Amino acid sequence: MDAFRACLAIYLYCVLRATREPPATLLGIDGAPVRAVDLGGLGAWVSEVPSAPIVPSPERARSHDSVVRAALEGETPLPARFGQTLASEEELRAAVAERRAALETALARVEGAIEMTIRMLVPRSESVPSETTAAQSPRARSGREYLERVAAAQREERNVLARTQAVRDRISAAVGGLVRAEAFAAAAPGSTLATLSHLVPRPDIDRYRHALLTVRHDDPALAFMVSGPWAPYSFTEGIGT
Amino acid sequence: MTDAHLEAGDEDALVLSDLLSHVLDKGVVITGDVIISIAGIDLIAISLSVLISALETLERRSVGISGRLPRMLGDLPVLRSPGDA
Repeated sequence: MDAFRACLAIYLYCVLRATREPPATLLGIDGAPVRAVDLGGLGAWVSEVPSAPIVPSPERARSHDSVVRAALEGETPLPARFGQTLASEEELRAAVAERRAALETALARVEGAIEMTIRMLVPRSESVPSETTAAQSPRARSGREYLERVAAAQREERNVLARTQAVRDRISAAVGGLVRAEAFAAAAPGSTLATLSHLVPRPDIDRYRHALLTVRHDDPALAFMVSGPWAPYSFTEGIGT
Repeated sequence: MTDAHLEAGDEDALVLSDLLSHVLDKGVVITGDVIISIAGIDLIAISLSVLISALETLERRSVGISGRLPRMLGDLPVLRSPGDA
């Protein structure tokens, strides 16, 4: 049995403000039962996995999130990023102890709140290639044409940033009073998708949704969609590795 | 052309891509060497391109944006809300 256990690792799903037992029937990655680990005040939900790296798959990602969601049924946890395994509970305790202050600060910030995620589709001019494409294009007949293409691509990126900012400002103005924090990821060069994440206190979720519906009604040209509630995946910065 | 709506495949693709971009790319990192293999990075890239392409498909399919997005807004929060219990 000891030899068997030595082959296993601990897979981390989330960190909690206090030790709390998961539902007895809760299963995690590859169907393994989930259990709580007491971290001396803080708690964690883990399961055992083979010690080999956990290769991501849609099924495993769903399992990871469903465990985090089960924790979200109670006090808001800090969700762990997919794929973190530790050799033992002692290693988990040491890793948490090293970041304890940052974890406690992050847990206090997300307490009583959930994450809502807005995807903003930012239209691009189809006639303008991205800067990378422009730079790599072999069809430029002259140095001047090449530079004009690069300049056009740069103008388009600035236009996309400005359009994204306009949508972001409109949404932020509508929900600003309802959100505790905001995280923003601009569209990558050449991409059309920017992401705005909000940390919303649970009692305000319906008002938050209603505020977004009002934005949609008042300004139907804004292309965005919202999903959630999520555990606060986008509000865990500052904890470091 | 009819009013656009999310078909089952679209909705599954959107929910999965949103899930992958949260779970694989966000969240607390407490181990020094979080293992997101090459396959994981591909999954993030694929999921985001699926998300963009699904949105663009909806954009083309719709007569007007106003007819589509309120429905998306209503449809997409299919994930269970802890406050709904």
